[in-house]
Amino acid sequence: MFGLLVFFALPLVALVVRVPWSDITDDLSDPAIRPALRLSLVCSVAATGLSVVIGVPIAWLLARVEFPGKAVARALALLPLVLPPVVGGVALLVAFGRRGVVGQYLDDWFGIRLPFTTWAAIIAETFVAMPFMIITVEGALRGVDTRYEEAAATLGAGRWTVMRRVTLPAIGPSLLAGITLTWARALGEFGATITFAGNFRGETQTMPLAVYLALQTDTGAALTLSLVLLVISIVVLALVGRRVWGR
Amino acid sequence: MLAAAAATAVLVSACSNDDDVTDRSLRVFAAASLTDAFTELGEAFEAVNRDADVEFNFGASSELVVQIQEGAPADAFASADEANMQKVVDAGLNASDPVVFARNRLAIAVEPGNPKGITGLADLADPDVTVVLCAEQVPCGTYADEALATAGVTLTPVSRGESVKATLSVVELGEADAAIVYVTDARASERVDGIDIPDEENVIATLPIAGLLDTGAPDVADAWVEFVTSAEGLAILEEYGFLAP
Amino acid sequence: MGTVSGLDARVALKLGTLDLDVDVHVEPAETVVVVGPNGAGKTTLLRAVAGLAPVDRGRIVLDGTPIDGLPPEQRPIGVVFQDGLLFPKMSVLDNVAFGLRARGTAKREANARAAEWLERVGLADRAGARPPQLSGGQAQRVALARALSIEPRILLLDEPLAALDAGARVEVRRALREHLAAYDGVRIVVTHDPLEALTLADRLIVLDGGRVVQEGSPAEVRNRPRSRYVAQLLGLNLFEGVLESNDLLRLANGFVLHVAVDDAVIGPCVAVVEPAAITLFASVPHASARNTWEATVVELDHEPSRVRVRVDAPVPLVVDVTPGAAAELALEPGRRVWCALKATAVSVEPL
Repeated sequence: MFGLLVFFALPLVALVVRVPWSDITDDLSDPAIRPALRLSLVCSVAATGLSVVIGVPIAWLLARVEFPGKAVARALALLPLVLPPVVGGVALLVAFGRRGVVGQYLDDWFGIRLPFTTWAAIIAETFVAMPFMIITVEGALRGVDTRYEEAAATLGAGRWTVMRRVTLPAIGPSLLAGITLTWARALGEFGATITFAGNFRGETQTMPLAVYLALQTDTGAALTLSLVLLVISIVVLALVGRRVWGR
Repeated sequence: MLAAAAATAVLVSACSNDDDVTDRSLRVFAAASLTDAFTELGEAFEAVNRDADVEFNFGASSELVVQIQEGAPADAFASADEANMQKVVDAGLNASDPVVFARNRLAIAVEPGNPKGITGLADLADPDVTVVLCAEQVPCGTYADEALATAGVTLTPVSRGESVKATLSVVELGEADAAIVYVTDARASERVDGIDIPDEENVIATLPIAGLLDTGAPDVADAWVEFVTSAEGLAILEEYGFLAP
Repeated sequence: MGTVSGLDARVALKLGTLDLDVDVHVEPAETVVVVGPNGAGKTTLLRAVAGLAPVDRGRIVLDGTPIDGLPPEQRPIGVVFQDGLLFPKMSVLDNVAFGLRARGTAKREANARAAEWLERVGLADRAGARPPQLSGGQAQRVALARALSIEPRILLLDEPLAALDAGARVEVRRALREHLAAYDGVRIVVTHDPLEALTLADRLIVLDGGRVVQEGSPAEVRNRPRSRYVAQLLGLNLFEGVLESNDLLRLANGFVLHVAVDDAVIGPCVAVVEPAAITLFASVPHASARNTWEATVVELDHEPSRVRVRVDAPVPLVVDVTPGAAAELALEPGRRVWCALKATAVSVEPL
C-alpha cells in the first residue's frame, strides 16, 4: 500500500531534489515568474468562480429536474473530462475565435475578440475544470435529505431561499471539495489555454506555459518555477483539506 | 489490487517496444519546419533502402533538445538553428560533427488574398494587424526578433507560439492576420499566402544535422545523414523552399 | 359547497398502493386528530393539505378560499414533522426565525419574535444551541415554536410524539396541549397512538385503507366503535383525573382510584387501564385488588377468543373476559357484577 503512495510521491520528491538551490535567488527573480504566477492565480480563481456560478445550477438541474434528453445533457456537461485539453482548445477557437461560429458575430457586432486575451485563458480553464464541479455537486445533491427542503417550503421559503439557506449549507463540505478540485484542475491547465488563449507574458502566459517554455532554454529555471507551483498547490490543498475532511 | 498492478505492468511493457525494433528502423528528431521536406526525404530513403523504416519526431528544436538530453531514443537530430545543435554537442551526445545541410529564410504568412494588404515587416506594426510570432525560446522566435530588430520594427504580438507550426496554424485558422515563419512553412501551407522579406531585413537560418551517440542503428543513422546531405537530398529540400547550405 | 369558515379538504389521490379518498372538515380553534393504522393514508392526507403531495381530484378550501392550486410556500400552513426536521446547520433561534424571514420579515424583528416563541415553549436559554445538541423533547418543542411563529391558519402535526422516548413524550404532549389550546387556527394532528389521539382531540377522524371509517368526539368513537380496528385501537379505558398522591387518583366525576405510582407527579393526569386487567366477579370479591366496585353490564361484544364487556357506573369500563368465563358468570345486559382492579395495573401519565 505504501509502495503505491511512494510511487506517486517520487516524481515530486525528485523535483525538489533536482532544483538548483544555489541559483534559486536568480531563478526566482526571473521576470517571467511574477506575471505568470499572478496570471495563474487570477485565472484559476476566476475559472473556479465561474464554475460555481454556472456549474452549481447545472448540477442542480441534473440532480433534481426531469427533462427530455437529460442523458445527452449530462454527457455534454461532462465531456471536457474525457476530451484531450488541446481538442477542447481547438473547439473553443472554432466556436469563439474571430472566425468562429459564434465568435464572428461577437467581433462584427460588438468588437469583442476573445482569443489571446486573459478572458480566453479563464474560459479555457473553466471549460476543462467545470465538469469536476458538476460531478461533485450533483452527487452531493442526490444524497441530500429532501425532507428538510420540504420543511423549509412549508415555512414559506421559495426555491431560491431553500437552495441558499438549506440545500447549499447541507452540501457544504462537498461543495468545498468540488471547488478545490476545480481550482486545482484550472491551475494546471495547459493544452486548452495555449490553444485558445495563446502565450503572451502578462496576458496569457500562465505558470504551466512558463514552465514548458523555460524547460527549453533553462532547465534550472523550469525546475524552480515548478517548485513554486508545487509549494503553492500543497499549501492550498492542505489548508482546504482540513476544512473538507476534518483532519 | 495486485491484479491491477500486474495488468499495468503488462500494459507498460507492451507499449515499450525497444526489443521489437529491427536494426533497420531509424528514429529522426527534426525541427518542425522540416516536417514536409523530411517526410518526403524519408519516403525516398525507404525507397532506396528497402529494409529501412524511418520514423520522425517533429517539434520545436529547443524542445527536442530537452528530450534528447533526458535520454529520449533518437538516432539523428536535425535542428532549425546552430544554437540548439550546440547544446547537443556541449552535452557530448553527438556521434560525429554536425553538418549544415540547408538554410532557411523567414517570411510573413498572411491569410489567403492578403486582406490586410501587408507588404513587409513595417506593416506588421500597424495596430489593426494581429501578429503571432514564435516564442522567444524556439529558434524561429529568436530569428523573428532578430529580423524585427534589424528592420527597426516594434510590435506586440497577440501570442507567441510554442513551435513554428503552432504559430502558422493561428493564421491558417484565421485567428491572426500575420505570422513570421520560415519561407518553407509559408510555401507548404495551402491556407496561407507568403509575403517575402527582403534580404537586408531577413535572417538566414542555418540547419545542421548530426547522428547521435546513443543510437541502436549507427550505420543507418550515418546513411541517413549522408542521404540528407547528398545532391538528391538537397534537391528535395530545395523543392520545399530551403536554400543550399 | 362547504361552510365559509374553517378548512374543507376533499382529497382523492393514488400513491403506490394507497388509494385515498376523503372529505374532511375542520372548524377553526378545533383540534382534529386523524388516527389510523400505518398505511391508512393519514400522513398522505396531511401532506396533501400542506401541498407536499399532489392531488388527483379534489378541492382544499380555507375560509372560503381555495388553496389547492398553491405550492406549499404560499399556503398559510405550519407543519410540525415527526422528526422535527430542524435545520441542523442553523442555531435554534435561526430555525424558529426561519419562517418569518422567509416570508419577508426583517432579520431583527424575526429574531425578536422567535425569541418570544422560544420563551413560550420554555427554551429561551437554548437559543444559541444547534439542533444536534438538543434532546428529542426539546427539538420537538422548538419545531412547534417554529411552526407557530409564522401564525399559520392551518397547523399540521405529523405524528409529533412518535419519535420520542417516554419522558420526552410527556414533556411535548404538555406543550402541545398548552399551545394548541391557545392557538385559534385549524389544527390537524396525525397519529397512530391512541393515547395521543384521545388526549389531544376535540374531534377524531378514523382513517383506514384510505377512507374515513368513523368520525366524532373521542367519547362517541370509543363508545360506539364502528370497526374492529377502532375498537381495538381505542378500546382502552382512559380517564382524566388528578393524581393526589402516590396512591390516590381522583377521576373527573369524583371517583377515587387506588394506584401505585413511583415518583408521582402530583396534578392532572391520565389513567389508562387495559381491558384485560379488570376481573369480574359474581359477588363481592375478597381479593388483593385495591379497587373494587359494583357495576352493571351494559353490552357484550362476542369475539372468537374473548368477550368484550361494557359496564357502566361508577365509571364506564371495557372489560375483556374469556368466553368460558362469560358463560360461567352468566353475563348479559343488566347483570350486576363486581369489578376488581389492582392498583398496580393502572398506568398513570401526567398531563
